[in-house]
Amino acid sequence: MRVGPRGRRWLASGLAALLLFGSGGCWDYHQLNERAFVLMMGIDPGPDGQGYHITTQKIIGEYLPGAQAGGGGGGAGKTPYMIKEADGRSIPAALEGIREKVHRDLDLSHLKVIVLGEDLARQKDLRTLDAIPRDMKIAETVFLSVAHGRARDVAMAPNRAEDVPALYVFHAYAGKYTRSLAVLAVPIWYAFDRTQTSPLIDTAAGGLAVDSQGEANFAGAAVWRGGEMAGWLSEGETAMLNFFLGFKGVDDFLQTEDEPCLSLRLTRGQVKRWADWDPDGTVVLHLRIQTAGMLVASDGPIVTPADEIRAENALAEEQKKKVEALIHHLQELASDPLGFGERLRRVDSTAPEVQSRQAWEEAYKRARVEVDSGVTFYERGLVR
Amino acid sequence: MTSGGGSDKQKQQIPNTSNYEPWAGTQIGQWLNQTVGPNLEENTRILKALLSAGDTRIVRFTCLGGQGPEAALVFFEGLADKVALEDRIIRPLQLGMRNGSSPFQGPRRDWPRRVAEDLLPISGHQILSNFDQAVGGLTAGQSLLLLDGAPGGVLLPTPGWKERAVEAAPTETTIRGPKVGFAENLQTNIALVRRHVQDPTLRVEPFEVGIRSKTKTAVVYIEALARPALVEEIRRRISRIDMDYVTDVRELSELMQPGYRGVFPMHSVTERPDRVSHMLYDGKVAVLVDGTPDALLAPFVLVENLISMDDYYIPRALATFDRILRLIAWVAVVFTPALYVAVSAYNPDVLKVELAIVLAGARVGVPLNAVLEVVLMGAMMELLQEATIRLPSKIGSAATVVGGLIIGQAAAQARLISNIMVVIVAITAIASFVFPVYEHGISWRIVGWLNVAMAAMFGIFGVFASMLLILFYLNSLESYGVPYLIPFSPLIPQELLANVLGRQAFWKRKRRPRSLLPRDERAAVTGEEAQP
Repeated sequence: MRVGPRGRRWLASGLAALLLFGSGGCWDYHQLNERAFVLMMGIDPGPDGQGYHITTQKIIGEYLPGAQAGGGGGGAGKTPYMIKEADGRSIPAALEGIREKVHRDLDLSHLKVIVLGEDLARQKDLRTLDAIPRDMKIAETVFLSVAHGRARDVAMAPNRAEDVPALYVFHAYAGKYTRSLAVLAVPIWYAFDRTQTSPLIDTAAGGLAVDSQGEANFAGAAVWRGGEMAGWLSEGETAMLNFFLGFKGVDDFLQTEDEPCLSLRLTRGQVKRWADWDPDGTVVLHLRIQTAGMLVASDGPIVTPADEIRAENALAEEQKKKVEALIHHLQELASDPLGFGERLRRVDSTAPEVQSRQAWEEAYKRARVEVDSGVTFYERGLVR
Repeated sequence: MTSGGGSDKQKQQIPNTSNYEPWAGTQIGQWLNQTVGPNLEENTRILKALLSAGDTRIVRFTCLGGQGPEAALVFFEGLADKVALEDRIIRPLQLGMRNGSSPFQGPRRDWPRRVAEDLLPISGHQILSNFDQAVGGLTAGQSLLLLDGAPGGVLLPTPGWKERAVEAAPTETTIRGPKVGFAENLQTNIALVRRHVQDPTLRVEPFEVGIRSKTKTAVVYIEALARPALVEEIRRRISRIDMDYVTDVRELSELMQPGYRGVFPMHSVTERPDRVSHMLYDGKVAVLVDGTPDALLAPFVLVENLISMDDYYIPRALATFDRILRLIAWVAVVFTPALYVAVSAYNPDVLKVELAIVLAGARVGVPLNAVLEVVLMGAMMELLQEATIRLPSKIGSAATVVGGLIIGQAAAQARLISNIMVVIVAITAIASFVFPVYEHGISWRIVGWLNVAMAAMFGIFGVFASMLLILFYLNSLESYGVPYLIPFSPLIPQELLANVLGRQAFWKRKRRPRSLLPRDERAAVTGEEAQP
């Protein structure tokens, strides 16, 4: 059947209308106040280790300070969020249980933080959780973190810095105010991509814990070994990992622990990492770190060029010790979030060390670490 | 492309009206075609029958103190200046002979011409031969002199009707620059344009539009700059108007584009002579209509929505800033209510989380959904705007305050609408007033309503789809051969920067906008920019 220009125009219009109806329509119609916005979701293993236990932090907009509230009473003094939890054999089933308790559509489009309980992270293969962003209309930019202990405790803990604890965590991850290098912000697309692109790359995520004041706060980072969580990094190790992963921090310091006492406010830095073999066939992990900054404190005057070189060398040595400590810890955990294995595979894909995950773990643990550390002052600040 | 009534199909539909006689076959038609003969009694009888109106006056007197022929002076009460009739027509005819020679000598058919030329101190007379001309002149406000025994007559301009003086343009106000606006008199308006355009090639072509009304119309252009095809097209469209009466320039605008049903204007209408002169220098053509304090300009392109005459009277940086503000206002008018509906009902995920929370909090307890909220408040604002125009200025301003603030706040406090809705309506209403020409603001408000409808059905996808449809539609339009979206489509980057996103520096303006296809693009003697 031949279609003329007019017919083609109608056909194109019809197709466009069809696409429009397919893209959105009145069946998606839900008023803002008819939606329950979930900002934080904690996932723990279900009772007896079966299924999942989900804890959600849901916003109550009308109780936020300054929000327009009905009846003229406002929301002063009321908690502007609501905790709801439920069990289910799957994550969607548990969420359905929560929906039945709030009688509103659970809107996950503004979910900001997913917290995995430590038990879940150690038991479940992270790769099986990638269904969360694919099936539940969750933004790929949601941050993934792991709780020291149960995710439920973190999701229920208040925080005095923000009206809604989830927003405190989100703003810290997003760097809204400042972001310390000790806070590792890992969006879920990054976490899941790293676990799926190569078996030789591991992932990491920021840690959350209930602190001594009963508030949800940041605590190191969790690293994975394949699909399962391998262990925790300290705050200092997290900061160094952050530096190598390329995330920027604000107001970060490099400080010597031994004499002389020197403090450097880091303003820029360059890192590079790669792996190769030494002549006797041992795998070598190379890390180069060059940082620059402003000297803000020192034990004594730094006047001559020789003083400068001495101070720079002391800081460079401190930096080197921190990098080595991080890598040695990661080697102990057999976790490779910096992706040395994949880098080595790209150098020689036929090498026996990169033929399997197990082979790489063995080689990784035995690998020699070489750190090239350098520090430069480009400006001297206040000298104590 | 869909032109403002300019497609070939539409051209064929326009009838040729040059031979159309609405009174053919009637007694009136017979009288109108009849020659004005030498019998004064017969002539006045026919005129009385033709102009059987209470305000027709016929004054009869004898010329040269009884030694000349009897004469009749016919005029309409209120249109003729009685002092001028007495002093400059009746008295000279009764009393005087100029240079000692009587005009009533020689062939009688020459008497009217000789009287007008030799005796009466009035210029601009018109000799007539039939009653059609006589009636046309009288209804246009002239006075008719008939002489017994002489065939024909003479029409004499003796204007005596009351007119509004030339005043400031009320709806296109500017802070700087000329304040004067057009008046209702065609000659006055032409003179106002001439005062701005002292170009020897300024052409004023008179037309009569309306078979019965014979409304005086003038096509004004600068011959050296206006595209000949454009002038010819405007002449053709005016001459083919077959309506029996035309009273206003907007009526004329619609009649010049038969078949066009869009909301976007194909001509710009302005009440400012300085705007007309600017546009004439850009190669446009203006049409003035007697009795209308506005001029019609063609062609018209969409970006003129953003241009105010103030832009030419303030420093360039300020003008550029103002244009960017108008662009923001355009976005506010077209998108704000629709986006509110879309994000409230379908796509809260596109909002920042804090904003989504605030919006959700504001909507708690509001019984109307977001669509009804927008419709209710939007309709109220439209009503207010309409009421403000109709009411006297002092009451009008009060109505705006009462409607906008008090009713809006009261509705929000009563929880009929959310506070956010009041903010959105206020933004939209204020932004719609930013358009330099009132009608353009209305066009875009209609588009805003279309977007709201699409947002209510399809969310943000609907808004995008709606704007795509509008874009396709606008891209299919052209005004007198000029694409409506130029310089966006087809893209002319230099003009986009110089005339849309900012105002070009005067010292840099060496060429006229190419988009308007002027006859001569050069706007300066040399094509070089001035050096500091």
